[in-house]
Formats: sequence, structure tokens, C-alpha cells
Amino acid sequence: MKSIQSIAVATWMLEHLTFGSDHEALSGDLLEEFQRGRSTAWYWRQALSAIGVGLLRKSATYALPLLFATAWSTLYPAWRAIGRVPLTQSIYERWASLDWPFSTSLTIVNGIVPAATFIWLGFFIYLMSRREMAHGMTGLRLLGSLSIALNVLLVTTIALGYSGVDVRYVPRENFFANPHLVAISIQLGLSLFSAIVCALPQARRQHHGADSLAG
Amino acid sequence: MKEPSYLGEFELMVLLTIIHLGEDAYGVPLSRELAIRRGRDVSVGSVYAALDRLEAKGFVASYLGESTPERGGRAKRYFRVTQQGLRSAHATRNVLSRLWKSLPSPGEERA
Repeated sequence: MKSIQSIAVATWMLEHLTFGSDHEALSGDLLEEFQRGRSTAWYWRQALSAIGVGLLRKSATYALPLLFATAWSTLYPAWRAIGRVPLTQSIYERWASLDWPFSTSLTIVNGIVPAATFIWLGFFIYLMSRREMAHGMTGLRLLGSLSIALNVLLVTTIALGYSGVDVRYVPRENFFANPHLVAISIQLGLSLFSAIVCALPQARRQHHGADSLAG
Repeated sequence: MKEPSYLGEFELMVLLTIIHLGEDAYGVPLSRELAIRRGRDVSVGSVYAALDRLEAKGFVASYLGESTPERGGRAKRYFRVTQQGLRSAHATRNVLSRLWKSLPSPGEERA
């Protein structure tokens, strides 16, 4: 009885802690082997090993996007500096002098637009550097990724706004020595990471009608 | 022209085992056969990870089969090698065969 309970726990862990569609066939295979005389210890070893392999595979998938998003977010002060050319400054000043609602919309333009364009640029650079991602990209998925990036940016802007973090405030000096700006880089990195994860190609499943030797 | 895609050692073993097993290539016999051929136990999770990579590359295709009571009602997932997978196996073998030719015998001095 104890052994059956132990196997049930291992099977539950296997089916809930491994990601993807393999877990049903995998746990079925392990149960079949167990029924044919494998030990409980063998079953646990296989289940834990499968969970470990699954986690490693997933972390490998997300490691590069996370690294890129983190690195890209550090370039934000440079992006803001580029945006502070005389032309944009004069447009900004002219717009600020207009009556409501134009003056109010300036807050959004000045805060969100530079951040969103920075994230989208980063997203397109990542996409271009990963051929397999660019090839599998559909218009709908592209739109979804850009939209996710913008939504994460807006939500985090609102959430961080309560704690006094403002994406519009980007001083030129001591960028990473300032907790305020570290919070902004996390916000930007999260937004870009979400967009890339949304664009990651799904594993292909060819269950029927495939070009095969046997069939 | 598309560049040929080569297979890693374990992926190649899995692919050849699928061909060897034919219609009966699902997780249990695959793992057993691999364990016999390699002379040590294999992790079924690693076999599935390799199968997933091969499927993502288009070298194998899978389909769900029957479920049995001894599997707790869970379906078997059968695998078949695609023509692309077969071409890749041949390409890998050709490259390895050329490389093996320059392998000196133990004790023999390299030129």
C-alpha cells in the first residue's frame, strides 16, 4: 500500500512539474515498466530525472531572452539621450504650451512612447538575430508580442507609479547606482522579455499524416 | 540550397533505435533497447527530451496510440522517422565515416 501511495505521489509530481505535452506518455511508460517489475526506487529516480531534464530544457529556452532583455534595458539612458535632440525638444515645448487635452497627452507621449519604442526596437533586433524565430513569425503573433510588451509596460508603470518610480525620469549620471533607475530597467526588461517569450516558436507536433518511413 | 543538419550522438542513437524498432517505437521499448545497446540504464526523461528535439527539427513524427490498464489509462506515444530524419542520419554517417578513417590504432603514432 505504501509503495502504491509513493508511486502516486511521484506520478503526480511528474505530471505537474514537467512542462509540455510529454508527461502523459512519459508517466504511462514509467507505470508500464513499474508494473513489469521495476522497483519503487527506480520509479522515483526516473520521475525526478524527468522533472530535472524538463526544468533544464525550459530554463535553456528562456535564458537567452532573459539575458538579452536584461542587457538591452541597460541601454535605455543612451536611448533617452538620443531622443533629446533639438528637434524633439522643440516639439515637446510647443506641445506643452497647448491647451488641454493636448498638454495632458504629453505626459503619455513623454513617458510611454520612448520606452515602448525602445522595447519594440529591442524586440525586432532579437527577432532578426534568431532566424528560426523570424521564419515562424506570423503577423498575428507579431502583433500579440508588441501588444504584450506595451501592456506589461503600462501595467508596471501604473504599479511602480504608486511607489514613486517614474519611467519619464531618467537622469544621465549614476544610472545603475540609483534604485529608482534600477527599477525602471527591471520594468523595461520585463516588458521586452514578455514580448520575446510570446514570440517563441511552439514545439511542433506532427501526430498524424507525417512524412514517415513507416507509413 | 539548405545546409544539411547533423545529429548529436544521443540523438543519432535514438533515431537509429526508432528505425530498428519499426512499428513498436514508443518510450518503453526505446529506453530498453537503448539501455541494452549502451550497456547501461537510460533516463526515460532524457529519451523524451531527445525525441522532442528530433521532432522539433522534423526528423521524427509522433502519434498517440492505445492506452492500456497497466499504463493507468495513459496513451502510448509512437515515433516514426521522417524522410528528412533519414537524410540527416545518412549525412551524419558520411561525415563520421570520413572522420573515423583518420583514427589511429591505440599505440600507433599519429602522422
